[in-house]
Amino acid sequence: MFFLLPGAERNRKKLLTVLAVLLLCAQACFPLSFIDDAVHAVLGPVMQPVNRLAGAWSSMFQRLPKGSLHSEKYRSPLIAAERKFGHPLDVPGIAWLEVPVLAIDVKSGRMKLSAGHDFYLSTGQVVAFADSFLGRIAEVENSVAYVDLFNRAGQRTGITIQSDSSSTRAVCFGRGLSGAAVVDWIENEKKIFAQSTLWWRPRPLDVAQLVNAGLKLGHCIGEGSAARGDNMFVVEHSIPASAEGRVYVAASAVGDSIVAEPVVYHQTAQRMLLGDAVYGNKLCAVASSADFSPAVLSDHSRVCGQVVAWRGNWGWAHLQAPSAWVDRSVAIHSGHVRLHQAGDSEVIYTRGGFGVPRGLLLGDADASLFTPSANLDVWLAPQSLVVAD
Amino acid sequence: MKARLIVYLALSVVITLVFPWVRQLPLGVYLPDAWLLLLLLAVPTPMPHSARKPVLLVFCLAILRSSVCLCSPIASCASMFSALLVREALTLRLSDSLFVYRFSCAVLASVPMALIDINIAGQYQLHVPYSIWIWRVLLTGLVVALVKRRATGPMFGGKR
Repeated sequence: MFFLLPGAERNRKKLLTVLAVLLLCAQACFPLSFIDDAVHAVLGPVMQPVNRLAGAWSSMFQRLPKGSLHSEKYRSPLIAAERKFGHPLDVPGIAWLEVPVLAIDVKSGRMKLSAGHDFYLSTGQVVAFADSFLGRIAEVENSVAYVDLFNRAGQRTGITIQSDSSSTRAVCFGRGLSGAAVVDWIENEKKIFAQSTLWWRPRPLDVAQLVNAGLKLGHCIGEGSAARGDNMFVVEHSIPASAEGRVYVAASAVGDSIVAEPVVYHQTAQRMLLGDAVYGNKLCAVASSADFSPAVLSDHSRVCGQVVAWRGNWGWAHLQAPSAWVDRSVAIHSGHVRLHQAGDSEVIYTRGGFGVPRGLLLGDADASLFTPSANLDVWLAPQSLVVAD
Repeated sequence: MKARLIVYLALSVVITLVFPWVRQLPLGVYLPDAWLLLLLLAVPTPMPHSARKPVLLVFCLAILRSSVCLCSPIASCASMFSALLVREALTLRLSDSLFVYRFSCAVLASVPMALIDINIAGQYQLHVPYSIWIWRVLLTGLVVALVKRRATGPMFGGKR
């Protein structure tokens, strides 16, 4: 480079400097995770002790609640409620397998279960929740199964229409995204009225006793106009909020267990620094020997916030008040599980999804931010990281 | 020169230990970024011909800052190098004899860090009001304009 003029050399240096800074800015704004991971792997041994020291200094001035050092195994009331109210009627010769749900796409009529060949599931098995017939298993993989809900496009389900003392048989035809399932091929059209109960009817090869489980699809309502000639009966139904957690699969032969527990990773954690030097008290640094990237931080099994960044064996959690979980929480109301709605004052639990286990306690909906102190845990439900197909 | 660098590094370590707590104070969120402030006060304008020591200082400050905040070391480096670049580009065109010029220069130099921090807050869905960033930028400008006068000697002994 000796032949370059001093001015040209200076400009070249400037240009390279500007380019380097622009690259750094690009990485900061549109981060490539492998670069960040490599940087944290190299600098982690320096950054973590500094963080701990800063945390030790800060904690001398922060009033923090003191917690007991003993923690019990967490038993979620939500899960207990789902089990209590979700189990269909016991029928001789039939066992109801409890299977966790990974995702539900109600409109297109598809449900993903977190058990498959490993839990001896097979295609055609009936899936229900309490007295609601949901659909049948359509596809089974090693640890995942897919259920075609009865409203999935093209899905046909035999039904018995019950109104007062009379009944007739019909077929329910799913339309998927086009609308609610249609009640069609009605044996005796004089016996169908709006609000008639639609009971599920087994197929010839189903276990005959299943009809005694009293499963129903919902009620029928009229749609369209008789004057235009497009009137028809459709099924009015909704999937219970509890069925987002677990459903029951009818089986005439079972394996070792009839409960498929969802995979939830769980590890104790220690608070390092409460508060962030840039973003203030919204964040908390925690360390854990967990060999997974956790999704949520809890204290005494009560959720403090979501883990937003994980750097090997420590990371940052975003502390949130329960009200921040409006769309991602459920509540037990009169013994039944329902989605939490903004403004309702009730005890709420995590709904699950995006790696967050279902049923963790969030606390009173109108409670303020819960500051982590002792007995911290980090959690991950790995199968729920991707909630939609 | 080397001794002065060590003093600044020691000061930055103290800031790193104390500043997360300072941020928790009632008006702490409005305070300017302490590491950026230290950098702007420590590095002379115009920059010395050999930028080895300012670069070293930036790396150290960035690592310390990232240790106690969500931003990655790369983001902190990008913020600080951008601040130095913007300030260098401006001071070549503006005299630093007037308070207004020094203030403007420092305000503009701290804008890249604010923008990067806002971007990172967006990435992690942290809602930080814009007024906080504006206050931080303005206070950075004010402190630098008040403290760093023309007569202040360069930290690393660069010739003006």
